Amino acid sequence: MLAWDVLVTVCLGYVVFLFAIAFWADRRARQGRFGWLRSPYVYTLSLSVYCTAWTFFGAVGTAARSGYEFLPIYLGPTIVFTGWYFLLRKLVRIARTQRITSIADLISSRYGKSPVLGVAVTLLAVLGSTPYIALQLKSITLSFSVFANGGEDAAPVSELTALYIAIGLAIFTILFGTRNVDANERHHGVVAAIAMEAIVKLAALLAVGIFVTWVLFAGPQDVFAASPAHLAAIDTVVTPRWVTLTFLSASAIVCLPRMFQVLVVEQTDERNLTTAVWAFPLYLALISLFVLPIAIAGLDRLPGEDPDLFVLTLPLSAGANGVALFAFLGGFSAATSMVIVAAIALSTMVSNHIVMPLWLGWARSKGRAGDLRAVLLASRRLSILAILTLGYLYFLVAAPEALAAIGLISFAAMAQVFPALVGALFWRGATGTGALAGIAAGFLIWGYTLALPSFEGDFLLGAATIEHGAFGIAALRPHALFGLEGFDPLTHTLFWSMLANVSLFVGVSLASRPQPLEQFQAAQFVDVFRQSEAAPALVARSATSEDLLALATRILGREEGEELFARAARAQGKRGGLPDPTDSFIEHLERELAGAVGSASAHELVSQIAGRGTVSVDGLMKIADETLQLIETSRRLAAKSAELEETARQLRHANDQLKRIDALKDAFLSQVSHELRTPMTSIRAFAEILEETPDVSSEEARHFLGIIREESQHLTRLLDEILDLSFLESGRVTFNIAPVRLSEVIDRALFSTQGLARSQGVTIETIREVPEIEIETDFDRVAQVVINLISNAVKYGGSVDPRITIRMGRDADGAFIEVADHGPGIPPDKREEVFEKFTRLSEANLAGSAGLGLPIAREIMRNLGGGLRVMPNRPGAVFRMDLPDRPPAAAPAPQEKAAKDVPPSPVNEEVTPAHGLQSST
Amino acid sequence: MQTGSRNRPGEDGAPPASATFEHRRRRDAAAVLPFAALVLFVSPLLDLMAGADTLFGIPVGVLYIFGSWFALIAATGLLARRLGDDQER
Repeated sequence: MLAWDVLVTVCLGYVVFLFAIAFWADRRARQGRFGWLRSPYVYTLSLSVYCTAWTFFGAVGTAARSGYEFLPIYLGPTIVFTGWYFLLRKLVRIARTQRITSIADLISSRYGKSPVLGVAVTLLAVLGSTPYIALQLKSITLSFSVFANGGEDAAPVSELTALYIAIGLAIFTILFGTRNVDANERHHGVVAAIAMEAIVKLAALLAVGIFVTWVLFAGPQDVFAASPAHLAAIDTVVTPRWVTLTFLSASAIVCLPRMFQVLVVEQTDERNLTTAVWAFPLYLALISLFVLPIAIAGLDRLPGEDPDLFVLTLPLSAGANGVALFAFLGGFSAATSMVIVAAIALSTMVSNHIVMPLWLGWARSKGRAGDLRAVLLASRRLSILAILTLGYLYFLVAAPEALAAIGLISFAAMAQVFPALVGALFWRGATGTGALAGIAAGFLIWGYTLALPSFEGDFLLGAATIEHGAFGIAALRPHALFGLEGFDPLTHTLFWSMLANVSLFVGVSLASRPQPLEQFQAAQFVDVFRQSEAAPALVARSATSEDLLALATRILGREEGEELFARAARAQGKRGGLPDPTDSFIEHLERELAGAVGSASAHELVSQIAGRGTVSVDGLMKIADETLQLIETSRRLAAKSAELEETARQLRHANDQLKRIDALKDAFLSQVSHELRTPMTSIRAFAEILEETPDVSSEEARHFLGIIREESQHLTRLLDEILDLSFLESGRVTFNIAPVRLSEVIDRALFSTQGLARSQGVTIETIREVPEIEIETDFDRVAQVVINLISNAVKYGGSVDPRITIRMGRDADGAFIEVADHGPGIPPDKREEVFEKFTRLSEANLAGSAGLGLPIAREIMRNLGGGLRVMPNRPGAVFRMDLPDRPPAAAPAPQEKAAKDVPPSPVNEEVTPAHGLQSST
Repeated sequence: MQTGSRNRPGEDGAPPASATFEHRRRRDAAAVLPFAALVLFVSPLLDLMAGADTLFGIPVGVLYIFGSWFALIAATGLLARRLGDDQER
């Protein structure tokens, strides 16, 4: 048996050692020589405050009672850490950019820097953690009593020991945890000491495990061979309780105040996370590696003893005092590190979210503005004392059996924050009202169904209420709420509390409207990776730089405050003096102050000086930012692509037209060349005959020369017509506009065509409207058209009733001249075709025009602002010239005309050459 | 979260994949890990393994749990290193 004084000496020596490490690390950090203090391994080891005395001793106890059930407590965090890239990384980044000081601060800051939420989460944390601190004190005294069992009375020793330990922990925590009001809330001394303790507790548990497995037994096979029946054969491992425990521990790893403190707040470098994500699960795996062997060995060798103390009693009973002492230090480390970090985290929360707002209100009512730093430090120190005192009192009054369940009860309390935390990180629509409703409901159910019944009728809830429900209503039985039976109390509570929590959180969030500040913070949190460091200021506020500096020095101290302002001035491009109190600087300052007093208090303090301000347009834009920007961008892209599509469509259309025009041009050219070749061929043929035939009679020669002359005239006329048409089509013809009487035009046309008409035996009658119609147009051109129409009518009018009627007049469409014959007429489907180049309606009459007369006539009418069309429903062909009172002011632009007139119906393209060909053979 | 446009030669002769693509693949793998952990530790798979059977004198359940655990740790570590490198760029 280990001597009592040796134990105390070693213990005190260890404490002195820890103080030395903390002191040394603190000094190094202050000198700026961080070195390994920022190492990812120190960070990883500091995370091990997760493994408290409850896990150090209790895991073996749990394993001894129910086998694998100790594992979910470690597997939950492992699952969270494997998904670090989506949760932890975001959490750490947000905390860094927003200068978050605690879990309460995170929730409060995200939901519009809400003071109420800060208070709610703080209360929850204190209520959940104080019993847990008591549990640590209990475990230390228990482990002392194991060694003290030699003879003296154990009870008074344990109570006194607990008191001494609580005092020692308070001193350590106040010394290293509240040395200054760090703008980053980092405590290098504390972290260094905790990292040391982490090594000690892991090494101690491994030492005990190795001792048990290879000294007491002959290796793991030997140990497992000794498994008692209830551990050897386990049918179902994954029970509702297993799921519950996994979920609880997964949420605990981020929600427990002490875990948030080491994981997020004490974080020195974001890159450390990439190491911790595998190193911490490894730590957990190693620490649980020997839990089962120790439990089995304990059950085998020390039947009837408390399984929670197997870690100590196994080596002690075997006489291995060194191993036992090491195990004792391991448990001591586990307990003390938890208490220290929890006390720091809780004191930060209490002073930032409860004391500070109260003090600010009080100071304002008294008109005081003293050194806030002193207030802050005092409140931190007092909070630490108060928390440890509470823990000690709880330890004194609570029944020892009740303590065992405390660990999970504490987890279940902080799990109520988990939905609000996840919503804070991933759901923009989550509102403070929703978060508060969810947390409050979860907290009430937790208190009624789990925390209060754990006192077994000694506190608030009587034994009768626990047994039969409040007011004797069976549906309100704490362990079978609404008749839900068959689950262990923890699963039961978690089910109901999470159901209420999540549904209220989501439901109320959907139903409530967030404040502008809340929306702004939501954007800052949810889109943290998409935001630049310098977010625009949300609120337009005004204050003098002097007032702001005074505030900063009140909180951060003169040196640090001035340093902060000097940096800001440099960032604004100033050589010296104070920075301009721009909106963004005020916001930056508020965030820096939030690192010391929490976001809600910082907001309140800055608002006292700079006013509440109005929400700026920039800020609102920022609120509406990413999502809307995305929508806007995609909308613009869609518009762009629609535009592109339209352009492409137009291009395609233009291309089609060009192709058609090109084809037309080719057809026209081949037609022209054909038309030209025909007379050329006959001219050449007769010329050759005249040349090569020596004895040609003069009569024959005259005949041949007559043909040559006729063909030459035909050729000339054809070229004239082509030229005329091309000029008309390109709009390059100048007209000689003057007042014109239509009857005079008709007279001129009759005069010109009388020879032709007489030769064909055609009679022409005219119907003239009175009074005389006079319009402004080109006399010669209009006459040309009428002549063309008359000669066409003479040619095609047929010989049965060779009669032509010319009518002039004015109707709804304006002035007109109609030329009608009494021949076979034009079939309806050919009415447009007649205006095509080189078209002839039948092969009957070949002489004369080359087929360009009507196209030219129509072009002339169009150029003069009128038109030429074939009228339907009469016997014989009727051409109508529409004559406007005056031609259009400007001659139509060539390209405009081209676009309008060029595309003919596709039928013509095929028909035209055929006719042309026939006409010339 | 920066991704360079620098191209890397792909492994085993595959065409070079862009750093962005590589990063996305790692991120997707990182997203799968917690679900893999859930399936390993909170599913009937565990019940299946935790019987009375032993392998080399050690319960299969113990081997399964710690084996999966260390495998997950290794996978997380490897991915975290790569993803951390991506972040640095």
